[in-house]
Order: sequence, then structure tokens, then C-alpha cells
Amino acid sequence: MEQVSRRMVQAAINDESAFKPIVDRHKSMVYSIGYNFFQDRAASEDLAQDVFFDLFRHLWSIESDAHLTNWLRQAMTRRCIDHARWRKTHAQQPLEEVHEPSDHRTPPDVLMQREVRRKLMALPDRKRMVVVLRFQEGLELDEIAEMMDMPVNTVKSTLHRALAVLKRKLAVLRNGVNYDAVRG
Amino acid sequence: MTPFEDDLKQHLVRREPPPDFTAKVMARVAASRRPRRSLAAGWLAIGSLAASMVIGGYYWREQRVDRSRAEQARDDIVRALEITNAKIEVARQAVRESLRRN
Repeated sequence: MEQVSRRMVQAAINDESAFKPIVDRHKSMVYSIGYNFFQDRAASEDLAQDVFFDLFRHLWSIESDAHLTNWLRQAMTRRCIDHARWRKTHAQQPLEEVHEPSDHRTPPDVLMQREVRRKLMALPDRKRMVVVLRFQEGLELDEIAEMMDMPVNTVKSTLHRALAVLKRKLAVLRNGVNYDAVRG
Repeated sequence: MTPFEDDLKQHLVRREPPPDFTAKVMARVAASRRPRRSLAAGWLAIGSLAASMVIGGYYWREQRVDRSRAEQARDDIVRALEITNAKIEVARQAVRESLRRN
């Protein structure tokens, strides 16, 4: 997979067209954090655009590829949490009214996908973001802790509680698989 | 990872944003770099107006001072002429008086 080199970042500081490969390289990661957190295509797109625009203004501070990825993840995570907080103080759209994305791939099991999404959306914001970062981005607990400015033990217990809630609510999923039974 | 966590991972896959996403970001970046001509022109107009007012005010004040000085000079000349006229009248009367005695 192509890496966004420090040279590309330097080039983008002087020439905005050099910023395009950076956006292309990371857009699915940034957008998906928002999408999996909100299940709202428009809000995720707006927030992801804000994050990339913010990145462009802070390119000078980027030190490495890893720093760039981390910066984007953290920026999107914080924007999502802030936006969720903002939504709570303003008119809230009921989950039933959230429109299905039209341009995404058809999930393997629509019903289960919908159920997982509904149960995930029912989690509190921070728990939901921990789950997204853990399972979408595959981050370790200490990385999530850094990203969300939380102690590692808090992340661990938050994740544990979130999974317990999800597992309880999704006890019998596709083909009647009972996870507790599978685990034995 | 448990089967449940595996399933969760499959449901939380990365998704592609809409096709015009990059173009929108780039347009926003380009707009932020474009010089704000209208704003610069506005500041230039304000600057010109302020300079005009300062210069105009200076000349108006100078003109007012000059006019005041000219009026003062005219009054002085008129007063001097009146004094001269009065002195001439006194001299004329004295001459007239001495001619009558002789």
C-alpha cells in the first residue's frame, strides 16, 4: 500500500494539488469513523471534510506517516464526540428516520446489519467510539486511550461493558448463532 | 477474538465516501488559498477615503487660516486709512484756520 511520505506532506504545504493523494489515501478511514459512529452519511462527510481542511492548515506540524494517520484519527474522533454532544443539545433525529446509504455495498445480511447498527447507536457516545476505533481501526487499548484522552483502564472497562451490552442485545444473530453457546 | 467480536469487525468495515469527496475537499482548500480580492479592494477603498479626508481636512484648515489672516489684514488697512484720513482732516482744519487769521 502506498505510503504518504514526509516529502508529500512537504510538497502539499507549498502546492495544494499535492494534497490530493493524501486525501485519497486516508479518506475512507476518516469518513468511516464518522459513518460507523453516526450511521449518517451526510454528517460523516461534512465532518471528514472539516478534518481534511484542518489537516491542510496544520500540515507544517506533521512529522511522519504514523503521525499523520494518528492525527487524522484523533481529529475525527474528537469531532465526532463534539458533534454528538452538539446534536444532543439540538433537535435529535430519531434513529428510525436515519436514511439508508444508497451508494454502499449491499451488506451480507441486511437484517443483521440493521440490528447491529441499531444496537450500536443505542450505546453512549464514548462507548460507541471505543467500539468503532477497536473494531473498525483495529487499535490497541493504549492507542484508543491516547486518541480519546482516557486512561487505558477506563478504555478497557468501557470496551468490556459496551461489548457485554451489545452481546446481550444481539444474543441470537444470523442463523440463530448464539455467541455464548459458540464460546462454550 | 471471539466470534462475536469477529462479526462486529465485519460490520464495522471501512467505507468509501461519496465519489466527489476529494474534489470537495480540494475546492475548499483552493478557496482558502485564493487571495481575497474583494476584501483587499474594500480595505484599499477605506484607506483611500481616509487619506482623502485627512488631506482635504488639512487644506480646508489651511485655507481657513489664510482667509482669516487676509480679513485681519484688510481690517488693519481700513483702520489705518481711517486714522490717516482723520489726521489729514485735522491738518486741513489747522491750515484753514491759519489762512483765516492771516
